[in-house]
Order: sequence, then structure tokens, then C-alpha cells
Amino acid sequence: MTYSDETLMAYVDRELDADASAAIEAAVARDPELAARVERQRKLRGAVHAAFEPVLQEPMPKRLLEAASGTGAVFSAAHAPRRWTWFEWSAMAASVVLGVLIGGAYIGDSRRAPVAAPSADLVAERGHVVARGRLAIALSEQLASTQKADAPVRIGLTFVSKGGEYCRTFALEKGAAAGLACSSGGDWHVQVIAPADRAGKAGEYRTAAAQLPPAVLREVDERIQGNSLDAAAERAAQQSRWKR
Amino acid sequence: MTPEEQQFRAELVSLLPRLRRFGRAIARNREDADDLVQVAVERALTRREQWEPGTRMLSWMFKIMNNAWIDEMRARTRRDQIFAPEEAGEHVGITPVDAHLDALAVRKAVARLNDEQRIAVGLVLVEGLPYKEAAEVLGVPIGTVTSRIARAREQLQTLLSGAEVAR
Repeated sequence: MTYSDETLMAYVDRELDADASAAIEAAVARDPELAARVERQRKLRGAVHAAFEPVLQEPMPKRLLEAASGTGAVFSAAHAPRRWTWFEWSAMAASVVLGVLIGGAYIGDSRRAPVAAPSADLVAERGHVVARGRLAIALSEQLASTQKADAPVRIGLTFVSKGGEYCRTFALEKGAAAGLACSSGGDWHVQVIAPADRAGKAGEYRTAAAQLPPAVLREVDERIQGNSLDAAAERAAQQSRWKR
Repeated sequence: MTPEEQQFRAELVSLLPRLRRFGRAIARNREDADDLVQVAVERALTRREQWEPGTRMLSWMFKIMNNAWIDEMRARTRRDQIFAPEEAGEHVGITPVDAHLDALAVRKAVARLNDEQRIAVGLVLVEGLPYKEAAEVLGVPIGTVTSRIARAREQLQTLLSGAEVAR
């Protein structure tokens, strides 16, 4: 049986049913020339896909983020007299993204519709981005040494900052995003939050620091005083309600 | 902002990287692609009630982008500024170094396809949509998508001839 190029394309695009695909696979095994034709189609598909893949990693232009999230409009309407700082703006944009991450969206999967959920895990207050909801609970209660492997928020490093506050790194939703928060007057101020390094496999936890995005690691390096706390010191800090 | 609008916007934000990638495939350069995404996002927000929750927002957005692109092409023609791709006249059939087919050559080859073929390539090869979903986005029969993809591939193979992909 001979196959048209169009059929082989459909095969490579996974558009054929199981029987037709199996027939082609069997024929490919016998016929090197057919195998080469299939390979040619597969290569083209791979090359075209790969050529545009880097766009996903490019920084998102602010105007697009603003247009989609509506953050600029919300701030100017609700707080007209005041100019919001870039930090507050970006934090709000991050919280919109975060809501998506927590809702289980995964941008990289083309066949799965993202599911979004509004998030109340971060709020902007008086020039700070403050953890709320389950992020705040995890930061206050969870110990890296005893937390469950599938906890929605995972705590990484805990350390004392140069300013004398307790700071903790955290990862959200199987490491899709990670950040650093420091204790301040009973709240947790989020210092930085960033999407996780895509090189790390989702759901896989290595050492606490290994999976942190560079932006978070930089922030840790700048703030940390001495070493990170061990399990006993972490527990003691938690029992003192993060006050020193 | 109502919770519905917040959720809608959150989902839009999550789709932005994909929309930009599709935009890049059809608009040929970054500035035009991002303009296209922005126009589509703004249109989507004004037509929010037309989107049926539970259906795939990504396809719906691709449809809006496709229509916005067609509008833009018509407007450009009306303004008598016939769009010439910046690569026009360049020799695309570059022979890449070694056996490695470089991304630039592929993107230039894609830019040389006609609008219909390029958009089909963007949906199926770049964005990985099944033919059926691509056909729904474009509002054409599935056979039309199949043949546009087939012709586009033949042309890409020709444009990239000499490169590893064509051997």
C-alpha cells in the first residue's frame, strides 16, 4: 500500500485513528523509504514548533499584562489620588498570575484548558505585598521538616535576615511559582515572587534551594544573615510566633 | 471588578504567552504580533459575555486574533500600504551550518507563506491544535485545514531545501 504525503502528515500530526496509525507504523518498520518520508514530516513539524517555542520564555510586555489583567485601571479608579509604585503594580499583576497558578493552570500543555481561580493569597497593603489565606497560614504554621509532600504551599529555607526578621522561601502548586516572604509585625511581607525555573520537573522536590528561581535566590543572598535555620531552630522560631 | 471578570482576566493573563507565540507566527514581527495580541485582548474584554464558560478560551482567543488579523490586512490594503514582509527579497533558502536547522531560517520560511497557510501552520504546527479545533477557529471545513497544512508543508520543505529538514 502506498501512502500520500497528506496521510503521512496527518499521521505525524496524530490525526489518524489507532488502526490507521498502526498500519503506518507496521509499514514503516518494513519500508525504509516510507520511514524516511515520515521522518521528514516529523522533522518539519518539530522544527516549526521549536522555532517559535522561545517566544513563551520572553518577558511579557507590560502593556499586554496591563490590558489583560486590568490592573492599571483598578488601581487608578480605586486609589485615584495616589500613584502606585511599580512594585505594587507588579505584585498585583503577580497575584493575578498566581491565582491562575494556584488554580492549576499549566501554560505549557496545549491540549488542556487552563483552569483559573481567583486568589486571595496576596494583597497589596500600604506599600507592601502581604501574604493572606493559605499562603499566610503555611508561612506561619508549616515546618519544612514535617510538611506533607503534596502540600499546596511548600516551605523551603527559613533564615534570619540582616534586618533581624525571619524570612522563608515558599513554592506554590508543585513549584510552578516560588517566592520569599519575611515576617513583619505579625504579617508576612512577600519580597519577591517568580515563576519557577522550567528546567525543574513539576512535582519534584529537590533540596530547598535548588528549585528556587534566580530572582528569589538573589533576594535570599542579599538578605540572609549567616546560614539558614536547621529543623530545631525552625521549630523554635515557629513556636515564638516568628518574633525575635 | 466582579469575581467573574477577575477570573476571566486571570485566565486571559495565563494565555498571554500562547497568544504571543501564535501572534508571532502569523504577524511576522514582534511589534505587529504584540499589537495583534493587545487588540484581541481588548476585543475579548468587550465581548466577554459571548464566551461560554467551559469552552476553551484559547481557541476563542485564536479566533478573535484571526479575525483581527484579517481586519488589519484589509485596513492596510485600504490605506494602500500593501504589507511587504520585511524579509521580502531576502534569500530564505539558507543552508544552515552543520545539520542543524536554525530557528531563524524556519521563521523566515513561515513568514513567506500566504496568510491562510501561515495561520493554519500557526494553529496546527506551532500551537499544536487538532485539525478539528483549528477548523473551528477558522470557520472552515476540516478538509480545508488539511489541505492548507499540506500545501504549507510542501512549500516549507522547498523553502528550506538544502537544509537538514529537507533531506
